Amino acid sequence: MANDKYETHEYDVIVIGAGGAGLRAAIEASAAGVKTALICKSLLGKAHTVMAEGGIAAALRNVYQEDNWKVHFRDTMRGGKMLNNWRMAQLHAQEAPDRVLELEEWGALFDRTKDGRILQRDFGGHRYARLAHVGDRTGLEMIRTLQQHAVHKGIDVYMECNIQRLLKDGDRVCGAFGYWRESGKFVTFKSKAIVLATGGVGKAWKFTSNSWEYTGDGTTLAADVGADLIDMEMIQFHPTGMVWPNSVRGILVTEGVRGDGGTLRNSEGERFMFNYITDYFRAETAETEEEADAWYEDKTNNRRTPDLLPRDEVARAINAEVKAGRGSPHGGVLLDIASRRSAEYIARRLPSMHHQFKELADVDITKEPMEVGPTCHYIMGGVRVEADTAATTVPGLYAAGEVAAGLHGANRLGGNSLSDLLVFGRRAGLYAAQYAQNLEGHPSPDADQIEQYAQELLAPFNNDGGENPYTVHMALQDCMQNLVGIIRTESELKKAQTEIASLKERLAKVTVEGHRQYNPGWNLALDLQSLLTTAEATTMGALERKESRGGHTREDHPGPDPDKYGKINLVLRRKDGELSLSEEPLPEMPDDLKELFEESK
Amino acid sequence: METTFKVYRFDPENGSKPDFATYQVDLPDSATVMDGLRQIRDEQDPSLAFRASCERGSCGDCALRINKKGRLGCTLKIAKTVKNGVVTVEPIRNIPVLKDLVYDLESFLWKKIKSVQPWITPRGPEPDGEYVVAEEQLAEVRKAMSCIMCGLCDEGCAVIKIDKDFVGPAALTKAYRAVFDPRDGQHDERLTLVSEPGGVWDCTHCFEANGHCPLGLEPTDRLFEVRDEAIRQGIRSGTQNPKVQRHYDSFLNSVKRSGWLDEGRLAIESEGLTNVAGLAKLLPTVIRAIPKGKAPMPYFHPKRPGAQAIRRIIDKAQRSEV
Repeated sequence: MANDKYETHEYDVIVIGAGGAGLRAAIEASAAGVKTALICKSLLGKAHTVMAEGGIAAALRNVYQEDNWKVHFRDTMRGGKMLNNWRMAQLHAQEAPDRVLELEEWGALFDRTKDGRILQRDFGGHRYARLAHVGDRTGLEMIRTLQQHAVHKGIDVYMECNIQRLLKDGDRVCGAFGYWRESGKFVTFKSKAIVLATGGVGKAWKFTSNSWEYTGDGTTLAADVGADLIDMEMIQFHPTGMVWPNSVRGILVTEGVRGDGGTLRNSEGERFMFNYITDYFRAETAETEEEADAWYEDKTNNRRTPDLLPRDEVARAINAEVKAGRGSPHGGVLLDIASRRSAEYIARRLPSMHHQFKELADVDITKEPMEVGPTCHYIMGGVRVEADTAATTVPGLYAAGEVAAGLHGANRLGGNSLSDLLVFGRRAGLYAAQYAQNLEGHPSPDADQIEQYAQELLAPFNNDGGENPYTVHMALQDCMQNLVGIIRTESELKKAQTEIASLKERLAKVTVEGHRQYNPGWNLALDLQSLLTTAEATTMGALERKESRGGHTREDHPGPDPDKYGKINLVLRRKDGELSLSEEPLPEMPDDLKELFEESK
Repeated sequence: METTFKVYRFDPENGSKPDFATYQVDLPDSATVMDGLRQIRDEQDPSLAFRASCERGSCGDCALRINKKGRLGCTLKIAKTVKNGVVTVEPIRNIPVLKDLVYDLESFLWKKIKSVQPWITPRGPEPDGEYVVAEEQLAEVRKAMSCIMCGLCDEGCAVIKIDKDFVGPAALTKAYRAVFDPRDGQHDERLTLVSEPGGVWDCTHCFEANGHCPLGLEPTDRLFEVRDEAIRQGIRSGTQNPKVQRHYDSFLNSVKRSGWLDEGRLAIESEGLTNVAGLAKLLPTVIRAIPKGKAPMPYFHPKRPGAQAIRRIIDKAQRSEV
């Protein structure tokens, strides 16, 4: 039994992370009648969900009657290059429409069709216009709605609280330990069940759309208590990030620009995406500019523009154009909507992009093209979960949203993230609550263990004369950007492994000045441990997967290997402190779903 | 570009008073104020505390007072704000500071936003699919939809500066959204709630909120629209705010009677003729105003030319209102 030396709270379910998945999980757990807390590293409403732009993918059939869950399921699986967990993809496609409607009941209001119903927008890899949206600020609407609903329901929220360790009682989790950013003091949460909803790992790369929070915390917390990670090599480089000015390089430019009619051009003015249509998507992609342009208005008789191929395809194409010397002045390509749509339409559909380019780049997107290039955006891999319940391989521990893996396979389609958060956030909250209800007794963390963790977390204050944590962070970002980027190769990945190992040693010696109260240097020193763990996991997976698939492209293994790597997940697990890797077969898809892929050929 | 950053530093733990520290940064012309702060933190002083998330003006985490103006640090270029080579960065005003540029938003913003209960309660039975919402209705709601809760409108608010109980433009912009949501089933309750003391009637029309909103949502206008809607619905005062109805009645009667406003009488009648305590509170103001010739004599209020015509206009408007 803990002696409660530190501030201690007790709950049935704690949810770590307050983006879309965390909020949705907390709402569901609380509604199931268990005592629930929501803990987040930043302030409520600043999580990455707020930055989501394009929309929520759901087969609502408001714009195209032909759409249904099976089409959405198929698009998701094919977009993920069939590495997805089929059951997750099925549940996701089936439940997304209800989750969208539920958001509206809680106060969200999406853009409307002429007859007053939810409007849907085109996005890459989706056969039909499918994304419910609010201009290009969909995430803002979603997170405000969830946040207000959670506050309305009286859920306890602990903000600026950084969880650093999960606590265990035997095999199962029984709580979490961390510190308040404001005071630097430690806090223990005893809990029967825990939902991880901590998001991604993007801050390991130099050019990233991710904010400071995305340091792989949940992935590392889970791995540290013995949970399995899968697909860690699958990183999504979003094709369109800002490339200039340098200080904003990496900031996201929504796929909605292309969804609403924008097109990619190289320095010669050519719509180069027509040169990068792979056999995999040839049958469903337009071959001429005329067909591509006509598709926006008539999807029945035309095929989709190659500008809207899945993100992995477009990112590689841009990368290749720049390498071939056909890039824009600052090393990207041109994204042009100004010459294709009216200024009024652009300002109405893409207000945030309009504002962002004006403020940050002095570019008026209603008059000039944007310069864009790939930016690290999302990790498809993460904590392995059971499809229906979002349970990890550790009893009492659940995961949802970007921190969880499986739904998106080797590449995520745009719009499938917000729907993922809602569908699996809800499921994680529901099953965590059920688990807590069925568990007898109180969670009882081990006081000695907590004390040991407290000492570990204070270690950076004890070093003298070491380097500043920021220099370690920058070195890691350079390493991952240069050696574990869009295009990978064995020699570089090995070099990255050596580099990460030496960064671990450097991290152990960093010096933190000042005291614990709101000390960003100390906070970063601790977050760097998670960043290095996830960077190591990604590099291990990338080295092992000797093929190219989705978000993992090997220069030395350029094609997919359907007979070996197409059939397995790479699983990472901590054994005696070290990550070890094994292969496991993908879950077998039932025959009735397999038919969906036969028909399409 | 070489720039001097003067940054507000405050550390409650070492007991010293807040002070400005000076740093030199060298950044390209395109750099933002946040880029400057990050360079200071990353390369000169890792203990400098500030908040910042999205880096592109969509989360509202980095609201600061920069060269004496409330701004989002992430979208403000140094080149656009620098004065004589100096950028001064402070926390926003009217708010408890925790450390350096980090402040306590709970009392300042969130408590107030919660107090207007910005969540909607749909009216009528749940529809089969979504609620059908016409484009014109959506256009009304859209005016407030992109609020990022940065708090800069409250930071600029002239009333909050002297009255911490004023719920403020940020919360009232949230209220606006719910008031004009065609699905909301609590229209009148909501309008009553925002008409209570500390609500819409405490705004003094300085329009500072409009000038401060980085998203251009014009919070002052939103507040006025909420108030106009309350008047339209016959809700002039909340359950605890009879002064508003008295003020409204006195204002109207005065203009009807004499064609213009009897300010002295308005002050007395707003407090209520039997409200001795309220009237006594007016006295010091009146006493200070008399020697400056600024205390209007109540009840001795001549009619202005055209008063008859004004009266006819009001009568006509009142008839059509009912």
